[in-house]
Amino acid sequence: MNALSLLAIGLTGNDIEVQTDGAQPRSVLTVDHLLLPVAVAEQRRLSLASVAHAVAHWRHSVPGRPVRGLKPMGVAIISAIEDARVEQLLLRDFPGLRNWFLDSLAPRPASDDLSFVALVTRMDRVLLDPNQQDDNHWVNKARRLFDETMARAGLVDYRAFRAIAAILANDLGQMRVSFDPQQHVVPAPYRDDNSYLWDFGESEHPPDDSVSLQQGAVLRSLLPVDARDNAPLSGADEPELGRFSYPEWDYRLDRLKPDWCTVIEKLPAWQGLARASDTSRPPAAPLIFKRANRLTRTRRLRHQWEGDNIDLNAAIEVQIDRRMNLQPEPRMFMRTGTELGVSSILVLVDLSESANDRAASSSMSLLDIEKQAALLLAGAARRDGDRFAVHGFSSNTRAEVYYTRLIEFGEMPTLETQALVAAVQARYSTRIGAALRHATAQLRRDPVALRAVLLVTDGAPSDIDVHDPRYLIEDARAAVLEARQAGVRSYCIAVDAGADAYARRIFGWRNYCVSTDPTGLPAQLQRVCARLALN
Amino acid sequence: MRAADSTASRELVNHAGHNDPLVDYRIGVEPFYRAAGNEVAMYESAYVHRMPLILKGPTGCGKTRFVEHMAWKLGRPLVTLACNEDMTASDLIGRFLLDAQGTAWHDGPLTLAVRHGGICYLDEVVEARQDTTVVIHPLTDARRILPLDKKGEVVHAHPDFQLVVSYNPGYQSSAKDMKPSTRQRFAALEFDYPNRDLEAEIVAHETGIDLALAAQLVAIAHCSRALKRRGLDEGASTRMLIYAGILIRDGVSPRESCAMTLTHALTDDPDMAVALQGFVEAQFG
Repeated sequence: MNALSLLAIGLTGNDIEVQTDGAQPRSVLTVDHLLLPVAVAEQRRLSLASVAHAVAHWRHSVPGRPVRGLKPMGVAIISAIEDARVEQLLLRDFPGLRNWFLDSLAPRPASDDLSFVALVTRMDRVLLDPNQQDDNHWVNKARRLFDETMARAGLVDYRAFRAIAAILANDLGQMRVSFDPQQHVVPAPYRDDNSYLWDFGESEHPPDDSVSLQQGAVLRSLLPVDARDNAPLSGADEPELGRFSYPEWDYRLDRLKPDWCTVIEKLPAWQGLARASDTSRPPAAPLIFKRANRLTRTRRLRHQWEGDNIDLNAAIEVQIDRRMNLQPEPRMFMRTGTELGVSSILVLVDLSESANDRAASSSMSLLDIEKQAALLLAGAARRDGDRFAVHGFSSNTRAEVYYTRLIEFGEMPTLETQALVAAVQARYSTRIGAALRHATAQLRRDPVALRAVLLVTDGAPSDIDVHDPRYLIEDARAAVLEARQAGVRSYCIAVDAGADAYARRIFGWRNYCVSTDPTGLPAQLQRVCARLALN
Repeated sequence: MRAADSTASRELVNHAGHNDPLVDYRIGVEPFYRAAGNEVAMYESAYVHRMPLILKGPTGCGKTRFVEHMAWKLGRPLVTLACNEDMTASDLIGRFLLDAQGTAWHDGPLTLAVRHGGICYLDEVVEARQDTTVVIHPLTDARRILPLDKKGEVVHAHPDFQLVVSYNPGYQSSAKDMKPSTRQRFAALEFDYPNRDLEAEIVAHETGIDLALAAQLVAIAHCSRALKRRGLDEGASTRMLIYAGILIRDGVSPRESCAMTLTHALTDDPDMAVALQGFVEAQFG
């Protein structure tokens, strides 16, 4: 997650994503996104000010007011006054932001420039900084009206400020200041295009008599849509390894429906070694497991020549031997031994259709990132005895829950495995409960002390034969509870900003984390695995 | 062993004719604690029955200060133990040590508190291994005894003895948790960071900076707490704000002070550091 997103989240307290895209002259914001132009994003101070300005809107503006009946110049002036109003409101809570805004305003125009843009630029300056002086009557009137309104009605009264904006726009009309809605760009480079504030009605484009502002829809259309045309393989191409029946929890009946789901284990369709040398991917940094030294008394080494502590039992024997005039055994120290790896962690990745979506900040799809993370994990883990396996699942109704073993416990990722992993495709839906039960069944046979399933998913459980969104969530929760009783811990990494609600319901609080940036997935997997393996 | 200042008070007590083995653990001066709710009254009610307590809450929100304050208020010595993974049961109850005559038993801190009637405070109890914490089981039910198996003695708890443990449910891995059998022996008090005004008041009191400046520090902390589980395990704690305030009081600029005590103390991630320093700049320019 980039610094600007974190900044926006901290200042608003909501989930916000800041992205960079070059097309438009000013930033665009929607309810939970801010799209910065490249020119802005390149300058640190300017991008910070842009985020802060967007925060002012998010905290204090009402979005999508109808534009109906307003003249284009009216819209522009109301927007400019609203910008000033919400910035003042934000400055009450964050007084230091004034410097960011002042540094990022448009340069002061020549004093004989009486164009619309010049006047608005000068107004922006005086409204933001009480120390600024201006000799223009209209600009000073704007300041006077603004200050009076602020004193009289307070900053939260949107209507009062809209009223003075109407007066100011009317004055400009009488001054015959020309305004070209098609060419108009908000003067201050850190401010957004104000499309957030307005609802232009049903039509696709703003009507002719309205300011040509980018709609928030621009943002939505820029969000990644998977363009890759995966001709889905028919299931018959993939060798089947076995079928397993599992029950499913029905919360409405409050009981398990026996043998309800069929899990089908398959090998991914074999496509030869060629795919393994797919060099188009950026090389991933190798994972290094920073392991806390897992010291344990079960490996306390007694009767050592040297060590950190006296071995009391040995020391007592020394004393006894001495008193009995025997030759004492001098090895009376003890040391703490490092424990051998005793954990088995099964990483269960969601191979449903949505994994094909490209990550917002990356050229790779979530599936590619998952695969890469899986290979890195398997390669990194083996040395210190902790064992990892990576399995995947997808579902197509309760009769076909596909389960693929990508990397088995203790397996070294060879070229062959890599090809196998590369051949895996993502399709169908996400029936988490059945897959979790199958994964738990695999771990149940493992004799080690610490067993865990780590689920990586990009969305809530769903399947085409279930219409009640709560049903599969409750089933998955039941599967997690069953696993816990069997001594298998469950944890979830959800690559989905809205995962909080269902992930918490399924896994219990603290047993999940939400990742909004898929490219950070390998590092996050590593962190979570290290944490799970630790204790 | 505590520092020299306690020696004076020990002599004082001895002079008065009492030989108090817990004198080092007594709290002489009232520790500042500003209650956010009715926790003081609740604690007192629990102490009447010597009920074992869990204090839970995020790091640096005042759990330890609270128990110090209560120990002072109730006039009981406070035996504090910071738990860690390598702690053994003997570290709690005591062990035989070698001396010239052979081996001699030395009471551990828990045994001291049990014998002589102190409040034993196990800080971050989940950091201790679960098999270590089970030694407190016989102490925390109706029996109130501590069997010293190595010594062959059963210590009956002093009527004033109480056990208090703290734990932070926020950042521990899902793995680290208390056994239900341990957990259900305790009553629990939940702590959180105090509300804005109260927190500013506490920061101002502890550091001597003025209230408006303290409120700005609290605003920074609130922004950072919004990033919890989005890259930060915990937001800035009240304790961190006090550190920041102390440096500011001593003349360090607010920006540099916050960079040192908040931003770089909270994170190593450069993106996160930019965001956190952004919150600081949003207050101090």
